[in-house]
Amino acid sequence: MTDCGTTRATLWPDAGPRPASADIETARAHVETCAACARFFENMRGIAGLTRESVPADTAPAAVRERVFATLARERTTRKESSARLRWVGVAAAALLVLGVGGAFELGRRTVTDDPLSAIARNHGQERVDESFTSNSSLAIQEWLGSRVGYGVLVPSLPGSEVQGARICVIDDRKCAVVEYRYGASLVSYFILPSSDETPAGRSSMPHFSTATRRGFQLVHWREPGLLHVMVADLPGSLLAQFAKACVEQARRVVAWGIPASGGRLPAVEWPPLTPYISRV
Amino acid sequence: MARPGQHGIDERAFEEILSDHLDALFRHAMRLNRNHAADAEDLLQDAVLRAFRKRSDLREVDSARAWLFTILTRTHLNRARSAVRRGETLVEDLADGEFVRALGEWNPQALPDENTDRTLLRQVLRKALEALDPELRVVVLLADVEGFRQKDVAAMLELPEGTVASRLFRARRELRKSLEPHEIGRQGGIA
Repeated sequence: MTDCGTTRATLWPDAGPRPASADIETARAHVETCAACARFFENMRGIAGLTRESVPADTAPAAVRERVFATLARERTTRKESSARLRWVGVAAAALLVLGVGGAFELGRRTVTDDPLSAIARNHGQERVDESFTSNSSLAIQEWLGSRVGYGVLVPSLPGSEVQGARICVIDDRKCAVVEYRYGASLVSYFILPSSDETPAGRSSMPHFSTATRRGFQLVHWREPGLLHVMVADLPGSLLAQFAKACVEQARRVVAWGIPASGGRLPAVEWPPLTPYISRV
Repeated sequence: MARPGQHGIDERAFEEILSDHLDALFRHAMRLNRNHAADAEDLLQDAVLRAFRKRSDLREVDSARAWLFTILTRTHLNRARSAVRRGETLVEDLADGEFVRALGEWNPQALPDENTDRTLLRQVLRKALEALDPELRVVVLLADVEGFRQKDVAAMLELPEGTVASRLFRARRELRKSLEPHEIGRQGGIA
């Protein structure tokens, strides 16, 4: 025969349903024959119920609700400002690091920060919503682009590719010219966008080409004063590098000889081999 | 329905969840603060900010209620504890053997019958609840009023389940005693 204390502890906090066990069955049998224990559990249930009934059941007043959400809004603002400050501290620290360490490296070999390349790859891969122009005439495309961006754009011929049009897009708040080509089943986009980079590029110097992969696309990019050029497609980087070389070659010929009337053939210019000038980002 | 991602919930989802539970949280804050509205709102604001900053901890919407109540209750207890002298405990918990003995030794009268003025009983009980030690009151509010299971209350308060059980018993016993001077006995008189 079990005692009252053990019975109550076994069935605590109430004598309600629960998985049966030998101890539970023994305790229940005790309660059935013990008036004190039956009254004890009746009290426990009753007090819990009365307590529940006795407490106020207010809803949060509208003013309290408003103040709580206003506090949250302030917190969000404060945290954003704080993280912006932290970002700037990080940028400043990174800049100091680059200034300190960068002197040990060749300054002429600048690369494009990741953001424009990722944005360009994303823009290349997404459905077109930009202002666009469809034509297979390089000159017509050049004129169309020239009236829409504040810099001259040469539409080069790319080996094995067919020009099919152009469009205007915005990358990092910069208005960009994009010339589109078809190479077999692949779309090749040639982006020309304004850049604050003032890397000197004299006529006799070969631009530095860099390759990168973003979002599954290959990219080759290079700079000239005030402009960033990026070629992007789902094609091998070596092929894109040949396209890039063709762009630069033809641009240099235009500088040397002027744009030929009615798209005539440009005179050839000798360039050193391309490979030593390509680095991977 | 707000769904937390791999890194918890975002700000918008947090506000949705908070909005759903704000009334219950406000009520709980009021009860914890003995119905002082200003203190309750102060506690609520503090707890909501803590929850917002720790929202990455919330992994399942289904556990949002318990999570918010935990933060609110712990914030309240931290305040209550800081109000007493350092190192002093608010309640002395019963050891296991003492708990079993206390259970066995307490033999209350039957609860007041249906003829008793229930409004009066509720008023008395409400005052008794407000007079309880904060550590006991929290357990009653979470278990008996909000309906959390004893083991959930133990997790919320980071206490052994046995401690929650003994506190709940002591609290109920105090509340039951508070009714004795006012209840109508079985014979129709004041007990």
